[in-house]
Amino acid sequence: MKKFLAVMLALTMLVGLTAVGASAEGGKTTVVFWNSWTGGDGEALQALVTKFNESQDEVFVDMTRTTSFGDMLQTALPTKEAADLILLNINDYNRYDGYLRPITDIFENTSLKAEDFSNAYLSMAYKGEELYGIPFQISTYMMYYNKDLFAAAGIEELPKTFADWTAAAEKISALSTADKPIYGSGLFYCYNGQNQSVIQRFGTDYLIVGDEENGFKANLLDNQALADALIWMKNLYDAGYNPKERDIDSMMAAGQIGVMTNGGWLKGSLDASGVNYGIAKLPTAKGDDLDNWALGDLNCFMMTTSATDETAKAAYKFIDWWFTGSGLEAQEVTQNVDYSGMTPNAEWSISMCYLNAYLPTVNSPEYQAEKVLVDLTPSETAQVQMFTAPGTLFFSDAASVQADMVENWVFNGPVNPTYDDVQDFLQNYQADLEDYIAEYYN
Amino acid sequence: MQYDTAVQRGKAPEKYRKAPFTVRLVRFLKYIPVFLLLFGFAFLLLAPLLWMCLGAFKSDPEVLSYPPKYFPVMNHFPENWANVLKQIDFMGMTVNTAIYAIGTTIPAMFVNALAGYAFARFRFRGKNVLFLLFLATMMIPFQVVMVPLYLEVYYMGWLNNFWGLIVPKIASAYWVFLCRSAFEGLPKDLEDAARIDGMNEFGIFAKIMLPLIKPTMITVLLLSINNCWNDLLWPMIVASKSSMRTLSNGLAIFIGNRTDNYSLAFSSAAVSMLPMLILYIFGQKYFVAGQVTSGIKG
Amino acid sequence: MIRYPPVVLNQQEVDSVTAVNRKKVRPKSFERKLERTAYLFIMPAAILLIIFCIVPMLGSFFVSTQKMGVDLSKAEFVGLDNYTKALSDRRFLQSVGISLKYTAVEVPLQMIIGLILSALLAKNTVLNKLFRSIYFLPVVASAVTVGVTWQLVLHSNIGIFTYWLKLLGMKDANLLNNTSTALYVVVFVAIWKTFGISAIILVSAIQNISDSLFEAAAMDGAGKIRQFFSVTLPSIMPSFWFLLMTRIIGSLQMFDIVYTMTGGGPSRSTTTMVVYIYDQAFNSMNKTGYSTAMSEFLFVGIMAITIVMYIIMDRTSD
Repeated sequence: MKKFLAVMLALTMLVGLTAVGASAEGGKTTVVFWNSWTGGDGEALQALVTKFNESQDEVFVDMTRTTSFGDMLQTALPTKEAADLILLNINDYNRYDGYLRPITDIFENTSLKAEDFSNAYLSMAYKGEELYGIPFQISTYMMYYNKDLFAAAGIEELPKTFADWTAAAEKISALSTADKPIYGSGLFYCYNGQNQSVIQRFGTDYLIVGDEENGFKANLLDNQALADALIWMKNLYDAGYNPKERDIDSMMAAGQIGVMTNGGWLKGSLDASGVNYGIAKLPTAKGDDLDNWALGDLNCFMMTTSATDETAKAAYKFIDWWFTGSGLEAQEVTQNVDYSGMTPNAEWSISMCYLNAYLPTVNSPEYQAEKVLVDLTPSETAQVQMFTAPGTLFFSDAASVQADMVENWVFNGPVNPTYDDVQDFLQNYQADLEDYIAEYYN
Repeated sequence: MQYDTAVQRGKAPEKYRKAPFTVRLVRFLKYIPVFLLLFGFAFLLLAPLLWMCLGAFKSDPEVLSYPPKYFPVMNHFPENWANVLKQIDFMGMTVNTAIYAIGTTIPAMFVNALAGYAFARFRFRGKNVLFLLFLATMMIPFQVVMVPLYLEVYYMGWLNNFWGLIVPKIASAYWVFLCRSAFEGLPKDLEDAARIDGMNEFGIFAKIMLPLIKPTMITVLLLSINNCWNDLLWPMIVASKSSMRTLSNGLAIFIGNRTDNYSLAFSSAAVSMLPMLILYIFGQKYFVAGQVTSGIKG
Repeated sequence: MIRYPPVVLNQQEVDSVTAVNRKKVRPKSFERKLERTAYLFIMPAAILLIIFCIVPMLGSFFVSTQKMGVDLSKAEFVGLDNYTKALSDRRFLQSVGISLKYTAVEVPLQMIIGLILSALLAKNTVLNKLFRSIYFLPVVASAVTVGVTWQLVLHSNIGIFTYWLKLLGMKDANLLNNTSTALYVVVFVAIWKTFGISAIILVSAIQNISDSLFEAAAMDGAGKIRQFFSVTLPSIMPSFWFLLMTRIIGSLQMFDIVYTMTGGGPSRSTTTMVVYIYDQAFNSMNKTGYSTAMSEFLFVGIMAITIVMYIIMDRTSD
């Protein structure tokens, strides 16, 4: 036994010490790329990165997809050992401020031009004069609906107002049987992004309004629109039209949900499940301004201070390829349009159902052939940002207060709530937000 | 003597086995509730894992179907597995994980047993305080010491190689405590006889004491390898180089934030559990009853 | 005439029976030599622990006095402000309550079940070995896999356990998404996952008990249950204490399982201290120092409990 252990140890040490690992082979510059795109859509991303690596000889993108993304960044950034290139939500900018490298010179060093990007989105990536991100994925929240359930319930028109939503939910929930429970409405109680995309459409404005010069103000109390939103939400749960469940996606894939909201990433699993579903714009309070809302997240390519000039240039090449290069072969051929050989950006956007910020892609025939994406395209002045104004330091804190607030409301709020009930309930949370304002902008 | 060794081998003594039929029947009936309890518990423990393994053979929609389907219609495992291999370098990750696990566990077994032995069998000043200090290292969640520890490894120049991955994890108050408890259970004056014979302290430890707690050392071996096998966060931050990726990271790749590739996640999880399972079954044979008494009788 | 087999006692049993209170008489120099040897034996582990555990812990104490985020250069010294803030943070206090509730349910349950089942499984029969292997299986699975599997199995609609519960008549079984039951579900899954470790340690401890002790007790007329309390339990005390203390320390720091299963919900009902600490560190821009301060509270709490248990263990083990 002892000998066996000793031999194992010696072997281990030998292998461990000599394991050097694959660095750039033969003159290629390695770009270390970290992101948190695990799961289904990450698979496509990996395929595209592999395509890039195989298609040229100068740059090797070494991608790591991980659930420990935040931990890895937190430990490695201070020592400049982190990745060169990352994917980051634009609202996380403040978190990593100081460790992000400006990429304003990308327009000089590649074929990309600032005018080719939708101003609404690109402007979000600027801090002052410097550009820090190139839009990678616009995760707009959309309304998914089950066409079969709608047909079975006899509903012909998609909900345009939230009152329509409740009515549809009622009719569809009536289809429920003991063997197959059906719920008309599929709101999540636990994800603040999805909920905020619905709440803000009532016209609530940000959770904290104002600006730095004139002062910020917490906007939960005396907010009729917010009260309406919360009351509407609670009634759906209490009436039994909406399940209390963390994982609504699986239920939708099993054909048990009438309408729900989520981002483009759900499309893949719904396609695989065979459910007859559709995608449309989310309703609003009044129903006539559906185009003015495109609430969602913007994720960008960003570079960290761990990157050197050399790796930065190499990363630019990759980003350039992403928008102008040739993506995966053998894409779908539908609607008489051949999707193979599209740019990676276009493939990503169209197959995953994400809106696009790169105008040449938006104007391409393949994109225009995607009815869903064209339908979802918002107006130029649409509201994109959720929770609080872009660049505010209390963004994450406010977002997590909202998560707390909504979850508590759903589980512990009063039945048949009134406006005053809502005001009572929100007192604590208003105080929380005021604390945060004081903490960051005193 | 014969009596004792028979019991050690797990067989009941002659007298017990040859009791009259009615007595044996009553004994069997009395065992039934015990059996039901053990079986019920085992079922509870096994069911979700069985479900997971079955999921490895299903396709995604089948995993998510309602009402739940127990068995897949068709064997999807080959395509699931092919998909898994396409996305992660399973073999490479397994090698890395094995190096991490074995490289940590084998030194750990000796280093920690040595300290546990000292705490158990010696009297010295500051023993209790030192031991509590050791215990204190178990009381803080890893995320809290993560950044300072990373900085330390960075300044030592041990980032992204196996030294930095393995060495910080060798000493563990948990194993020290476990070994200490095991050594405490040994008879009181065992060393004295050996000391009289002129053996030095380390010899006593290595040649007499350590072999006597073999079941505990096997437990340390199994649990330590298992911990390393499933360790996600530490390898990710200290060995972030993609060539040093471990299995746990590979598994986590299939679990997205909202979209879970259940069938792929289950396939890779089921396969990665296999080595640990084999190790455990293999280690079972070292759990033999009555180890301790065999050194002292007579 | 009934002939009993000869009972051979070893030195340990002689001592315990005759209660010899011997003070060891050894020369002073020998005692000092033993002491030096002890320190020598402890040194490797101690050095490694000091470098790789104690020093980072001291670093974390330092961090807890700062107001900082990811950017280390922007750290600002705030003294004990983080600590006083934690004491008036209603969410922190709630998480302390939940942690205590969680541990108070999980640890006794696991110890009792562990003891009972280990006693039943101690003999090396084939059936017992099979059961022991099965009980160890959940330990082998990774925490992430366990969280995902259980979440799916307990899903309110497509989960298989929920389905069975419905078949058994419980129509509205929704265990995970229910503020009153979610914590107990987490307790259950945590016990499920770590039970194998308790079993393996207790079984090997029980197997180490000399059979002659059982024989002696049986001769005195003790039935199985009496034997358990008078022979088994006292003999496995060191392992029992080890398990109790490490389970308490472990359950107060349990994170992976609860985070992947419920994320702290629904409505904070499963937000233990560690979950809250993690949340604050990642859902906020500059709360690294604050969350570290909260972990120091956790550390002090665990230390206090451990010291109390250690004193009790020390007193009762002689």
